[in-house]
Amino acid sequence: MTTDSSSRLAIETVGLTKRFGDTLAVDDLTLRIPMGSVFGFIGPNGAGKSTTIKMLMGLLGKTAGQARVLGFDVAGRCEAVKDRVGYVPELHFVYRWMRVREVIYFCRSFYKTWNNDLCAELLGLFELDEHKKVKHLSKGMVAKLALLLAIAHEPELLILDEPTSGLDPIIREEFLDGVLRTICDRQKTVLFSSHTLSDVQRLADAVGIIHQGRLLANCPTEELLTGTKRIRAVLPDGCSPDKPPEGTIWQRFRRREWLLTVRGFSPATIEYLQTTYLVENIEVTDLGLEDVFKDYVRGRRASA
Amino acid sequence: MKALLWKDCRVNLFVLVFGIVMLLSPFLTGLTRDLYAELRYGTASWWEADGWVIISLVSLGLSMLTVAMLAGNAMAAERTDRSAEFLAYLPPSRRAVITSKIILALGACLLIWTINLAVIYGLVPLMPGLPEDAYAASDGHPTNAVPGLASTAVVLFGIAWFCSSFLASPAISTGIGIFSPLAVAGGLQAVEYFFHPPSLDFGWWYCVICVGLGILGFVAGTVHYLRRVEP
Amino acid sequence: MSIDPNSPVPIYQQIAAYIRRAVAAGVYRPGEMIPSLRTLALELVVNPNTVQRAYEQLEREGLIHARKGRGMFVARDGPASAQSRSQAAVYSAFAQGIRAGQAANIAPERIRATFEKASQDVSTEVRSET
Repeated sequence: MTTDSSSRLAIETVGLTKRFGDTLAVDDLTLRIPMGSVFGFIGPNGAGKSTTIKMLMGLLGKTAGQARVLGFDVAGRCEAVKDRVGYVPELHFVYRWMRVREVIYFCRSFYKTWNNDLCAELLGLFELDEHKKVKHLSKGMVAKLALLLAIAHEPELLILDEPTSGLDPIIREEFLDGVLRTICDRQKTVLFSSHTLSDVQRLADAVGIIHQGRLLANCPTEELLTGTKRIRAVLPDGCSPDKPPEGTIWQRFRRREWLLTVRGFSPATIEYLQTTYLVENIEVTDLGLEDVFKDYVRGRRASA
Repeated sequence: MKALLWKDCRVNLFVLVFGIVMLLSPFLTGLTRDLYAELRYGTASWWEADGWVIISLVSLGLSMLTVAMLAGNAMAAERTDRSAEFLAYLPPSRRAVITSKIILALGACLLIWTINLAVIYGLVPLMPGLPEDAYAASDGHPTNAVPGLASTAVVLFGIAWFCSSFLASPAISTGIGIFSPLAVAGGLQAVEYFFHPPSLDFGWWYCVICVGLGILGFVAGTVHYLRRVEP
Repeated sequence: MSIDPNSPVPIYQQIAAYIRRAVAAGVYRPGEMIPSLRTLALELVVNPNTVQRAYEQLEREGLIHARKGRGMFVARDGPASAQSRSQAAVYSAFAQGIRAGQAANIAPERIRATFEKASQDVSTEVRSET
């Protein structure tokens, strides 16, 4: 059932693959998310984030590979896990004819660990009207309701799929506040996919960059940001950069300016450049998560 | 389970109300007519046994639509508004979800049939003025229709249930369900026409095929729902 | 106070810098408790681990110390330590400016002249504000 190492991992996938006809949506994905960490999944639209998450939740069958959530194999469709996981999907299909009060009554009966006090607190925090029907709620309200349903039973693992997409800045802040309370108070594991990179940078302990189904990077946020730098090197006329240093994820050569983004930067990188090319000028800058992300994707597209 | 049953009742509320109307309106019509005759002319034939049997059969006939709708709605209704996807990531197992649906749909159908069979075979025999051989299997007696109606209900339910398991449209599932007894009858007619079998007991064959198909459809639909990954 | 997630400066360093400046300015005096992990994390909307990292760094620097079960408190010589760290931050800022000048091929004398001018201009600003 659960091995010793798996029980410390909230999520573990090995070679997870999903094919839709000819399209490879998720390609040989290997991921290990330890308990108690916050993992941010970033990637362009259609990169495979939602597909991966749906496979982890057992909503989509996998083509190949293995995946375990809280130690349980997703293929076994183990219903025991569902009551320890809170999930907020990208699109919400809560019964539209139910009132908020009725949705809560419906969901509450399925969870042994439902916390009524927490539920009441969140209802107040999110300013949700208990008597309103779901079909009369705005998009942001439905998103908050979905978050409430996911957190109120104090799950060990919270999975959020593009939770703040399309929400106005105020609601996004309320949403993040709700998620953050879960992280702070209850030491839970969180996996979330997002386009809002600033959210990922704020909340995530580790980041996974996915593009066309492949995982391009998977490491602690801190390491990714301090270890990845943008280098601007000015080369003399006639010099062409054909041997970029190790760890280059993106580069552009224009006029005499050679821009490159290097992962795993160290002084050795500068040495290499200075010895391999007659660089006249070198400048190194730090990058934010958004730039690192864009460079990974651009670099991938250029080499594809 | 209680919450699931409550949810299924609410999802099927329209069908259940419709079903109650279809079930009771023949009785109410009969009672109203008798009441009117009594009040106006003082000649109510309250206890005319045949009349009540006919009313009951009409109720069963009207309820065919209810049966088909209950089955057709069962799984497909939650796919049209995609609420099935919401339920899919909640803790209840597929088994629990479908058990609740079976209890409601089958339960309602059995209730309709139990009430009417109780009237025909339980209440009516207690009425005065009933001829001796009332329930003898004589040609032309209204109660002969019961096996045929029952088989029709079984195939309606089973095929609509089967379609509901595969499709996303309750309307189409119900429609195909309603069409199925016609298909069976038509098929038998075709067999009679083309192959001229020496002695074809149409009624008997119709009942057997309908019940068989109905049960098969129900079982296959249930198994498929339990096994498919997508909600 | 808010942190800038888009800045290349790591968030934990931004938090540490904020606390340092606050101690240097006297907002938190020696012996006083600084905001708890949870409070600051919720206020800044950041992962509490990041706040922890900042606090750990500040503890290593000797700016604050932990009192078991109570929280983090400003050390007795906290403000002095904060001053010297802030000075180090100023040094980094200068060094960054100088590097930028070098990358733009500006001669060292001109860089120094630019520094003098900036120094004067800022003093004038401050004087006109007070």
